[in-house]
Amino acid sequence: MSLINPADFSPRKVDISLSNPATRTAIRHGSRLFDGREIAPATIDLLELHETGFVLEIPTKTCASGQIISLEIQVADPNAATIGMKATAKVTLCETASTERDTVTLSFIQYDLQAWSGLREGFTRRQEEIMDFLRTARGL
Amino acid sequence: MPSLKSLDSKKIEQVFAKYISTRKILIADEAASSRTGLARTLVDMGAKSNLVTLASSLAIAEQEMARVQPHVVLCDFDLGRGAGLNLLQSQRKNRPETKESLFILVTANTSQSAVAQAAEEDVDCYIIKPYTIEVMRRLIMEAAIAKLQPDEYSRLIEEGKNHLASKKTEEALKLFEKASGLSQKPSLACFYAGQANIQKNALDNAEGSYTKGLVHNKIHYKCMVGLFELMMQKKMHTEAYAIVKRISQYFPANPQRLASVLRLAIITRSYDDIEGYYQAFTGLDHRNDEIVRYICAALVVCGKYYLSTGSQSRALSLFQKAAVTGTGRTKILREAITTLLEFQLVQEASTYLGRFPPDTQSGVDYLASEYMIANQRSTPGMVIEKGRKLIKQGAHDPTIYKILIHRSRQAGLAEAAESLIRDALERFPENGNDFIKVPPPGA
Repeated sequence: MSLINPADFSPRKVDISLSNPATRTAIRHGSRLFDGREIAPATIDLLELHETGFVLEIPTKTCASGQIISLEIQVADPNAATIGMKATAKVTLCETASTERDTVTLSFIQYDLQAWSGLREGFTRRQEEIMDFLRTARGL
Repeated sequence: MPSLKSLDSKKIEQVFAKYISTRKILIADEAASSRTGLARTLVDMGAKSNLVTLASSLAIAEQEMARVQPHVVLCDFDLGRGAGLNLLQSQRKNRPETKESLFILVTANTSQSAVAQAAEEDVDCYIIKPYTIEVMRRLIMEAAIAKLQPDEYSRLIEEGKNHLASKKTEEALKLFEKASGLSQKPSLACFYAGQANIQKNALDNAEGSYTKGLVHNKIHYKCMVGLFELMMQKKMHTEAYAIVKRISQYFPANPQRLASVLRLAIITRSYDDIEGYYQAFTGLDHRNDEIVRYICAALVVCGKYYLSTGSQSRALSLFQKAAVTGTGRTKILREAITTLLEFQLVQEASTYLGRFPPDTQSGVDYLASEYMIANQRSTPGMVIEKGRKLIKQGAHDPTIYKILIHRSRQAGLAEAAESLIRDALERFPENGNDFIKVPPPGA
C-alpha cells in the first residue's frame, strides 16, 4: 500500500521565457540574456491571468509600455500533462514594483487560444480542488 | 440572519464593503507586485488604504502583526521558507475571537502538502497564483461573509463552543445535537460533541462521536485528530497507528505528526512502514531538529529489527540513511555502531567511525564507539590498557566501564575490576547491575 504520493509534494511548475527585440533582452530558465549572452540570474513570476493576457513581475529594464515581446509558457503539473504555448504580446502597462522588479501587464497579439484556455482551466481546476479539500477537511 | 446562499452578488459586495471598510489589513508577500496588486484589489472592494499595511518579509510581518493587530491577513505560504502560517498563530493570539478575523493564503505553492497544512491550521481561504481578479474577489468575499453571516449550523456550533469554553457541557452537547440535524454531513458538530464528551470524561461516547463524524466525512481533519488523541489517551496504540496513518495519507507534511507516526510504528512493530516514512521525510521542505532525531532513531531501530530477521543488506541501507540524515549526530552513529557490534558486524561498524565529524572525536560517543570496536579487534591486554587510558583522560562512559570491567575480570584482575565497579556505580548508579553481571555489547 502506498501511503504517500511523492507527486503530492510537488507544486505545479510555471516556466515563462520572454524575449524583447527592442531591448535585445531575453529571460530564459532563470537567466537574463543580452544579445544571447547570459549576464545575470533572473526570475519571472506569473501573478494574474486575464482573458487574453496576464500580469508578470520581471527584472527591471526588460521592457517598456508599447513594446512587443515573444513568450513561451510551460506549465508542468506532476499529476497531469504539461501545457505549453508560444505567443506574442504587447506590453500595455509597465510599473515599477521595486528597485529591481517591474510589474508588467501583457495583452496577446498572437497566441494559441486552445492552449491558453487549457492553461487557465488548469489553474481554475486546481483552485477549485484546493477549496473543495479545505471545505471537506474543515467540515464546512 | 440571511445565509450566504440567500444573498445576491450585489448584496454580498455591499455587505463585504461595509465589513472591510473598518478592518485593518496586513498583506505579507516577498514580491512587491503581489503586495501592491492585492492591496489595490482590496481597496477596490472597499478597504481603506490607510488601514492596509504591507510587509515584504516574515520578520517585518511579525513586527507589523504585533503593532497593527490586523483583522485581515493575506499572506504567502512561502513567506520566509514556508513560515507564512506562523503569522496565523500571531493573529489568533492577538484576536482570539475568530469571528473578527480572516486569514487568507495567496500563494503560488499549489502542492498538496501546503494545502493540507493550511487545512490543518483552519485557514479561511487559499488563493493560488496566478489568480484572476474575479476569482480572488469571490473567494475573499465568501470567506468573510461565511463568518459575518454564518448559517444556522455554524451559528449553533459557535454557540456550543462558547458553552464548552465555559464548561457548560450538557448545554453544549444539546447545541451540537441540534446542529447535527441541520446538515447532511455534520462532521464538525460530531467533532465538537466528541470534545464535549471528553470534557465529561465519557470517552466511549467521544469515540462514538468522532467515528460518526468520519462516517459522514472520512477526511474530516478534526475528527481524525480527535480520534487519534483519544486512542493515544486510552493507550490503544494499534488503533492510534491506523488513524495516524490515515491522517498522514491526506495530510502528509506535518513534521510533528511524522514524529508521532514513527513512535507508533516502533511501538506497534510496523517496521515495514518506516522506509515509507523516510521517503515522506525527505519530501519535507522544513525539518526541525526533533523530526531529524526521530527519523534517525526510527531508522536505526528498524535496522536492528532487520538484522534480527536476517535482512542484513536492508538493515545496512537503513543505517546508512540514518548516518547521512543525522550528519554530525554522534548518538545516532554510536547507536548504529552498537547495534552492528551486537550482530558481530565489526567491519561494518568500523566504517561508521569515519562519519564522526573531527570536532566530535574527543567526545564520549566517539571514544566509546572506538573502544567498542577495539574490544572486538584488539588483544585483551590492549583493550585493558586502552580502557584505563580513556578513564584517566576523563572519558567516563558506562560502556567504557562495562568493557573494561569485563576484560579485567576475564584477565583475573579482580581487585582492579572491583575498583572500577565501585567507581562506575558512583558515577552511574542508574546502571546498577550492568557493571556487575552483563557482558558489554559485542563481547
